[in-house]
Amino acid sequence: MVDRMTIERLREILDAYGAEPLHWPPAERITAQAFAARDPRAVALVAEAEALDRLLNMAPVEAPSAALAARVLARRPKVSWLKSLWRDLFPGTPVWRPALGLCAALMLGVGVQAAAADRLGLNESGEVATTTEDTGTDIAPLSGGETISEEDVL
Amino acid sequence: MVEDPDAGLVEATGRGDAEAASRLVARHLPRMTALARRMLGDSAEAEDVAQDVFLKVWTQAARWKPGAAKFETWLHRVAINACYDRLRKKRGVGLDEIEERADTAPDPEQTLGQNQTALAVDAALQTLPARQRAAITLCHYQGLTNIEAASTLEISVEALESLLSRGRRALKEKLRHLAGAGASATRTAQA
Repeated sequence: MVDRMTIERLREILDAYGAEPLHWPPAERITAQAFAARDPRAVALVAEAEALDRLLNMAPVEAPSAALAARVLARRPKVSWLKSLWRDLFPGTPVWRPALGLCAALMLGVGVQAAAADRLGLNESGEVATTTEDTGTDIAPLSGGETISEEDVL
Repeated sequence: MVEDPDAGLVEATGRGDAEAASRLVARHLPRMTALARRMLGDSAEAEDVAQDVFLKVWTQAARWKPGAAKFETWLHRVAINACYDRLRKKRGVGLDEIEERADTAPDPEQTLGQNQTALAVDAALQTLPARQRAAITLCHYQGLTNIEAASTLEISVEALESLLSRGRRALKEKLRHLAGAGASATRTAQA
């Protein structure tokens, strides 16, 4: 906030921004307004700037047509519900980040499953191998190679 | 961190919220069209610029990062650059050399009413070099602060003030014969 004002600086402000204090630099506005109100030399300067402001305010401006607004909105790309859901779940996050995390988790899962299958001696269909040929190792299957039927349990 | 009244709407637009997009258009389309109209002096071209600006909004909204700059300041920058591009293409010279059009402001005898005065002011604006016109458009008509306008034009505040002063001085000279019209228009409005 500027706390000192001179007639020269006020003239510069009026020459650049006009007579409307709302258009003046925010940091100098209050000081410049107070100065303009108490210094008699400021009156003529403000009046001169006001005259040009009035003319500028007469320059025409047309409101955009409803058709333009419709055209603008029509050019908005359609977002699929999946993408929309994604953006709701991960606002501002690029797609590749969670996708990379998901891939890493999947690969870890596959790796763990493969390692566990190898340790437990499971064959391709997920059954416990019953012979050393099935496991391809010398380790005996944990169940001892016998199949336990449902009746045995009951 | 810049407080941005549009941040929520931009974020929702980026997520594909149609209602937010409509509100964003309602809020900013009139201002963007007015800016382009004052810069280019042609309503049809102004509408084209406004469409280009919003096309950029649609592609950038999902990637918008609040905090760096206000959305509206960014929007003004996109619009001003689009206007500069069109002016360059049209005239094929640098922006500072563009003395836009022959001074078509009517002489005092032709100045019969408020309508003619308005047209004369518009014509006088169009004769300013593009950067001076941009500075006056942003500060006087769009109501941007000096810091926002300087940021939009990517110049210092001192350079902005210099553009504004030169522009207003030139306009005052061109519109000297209409000085009474402004005062009578104000009296009419007050009555």
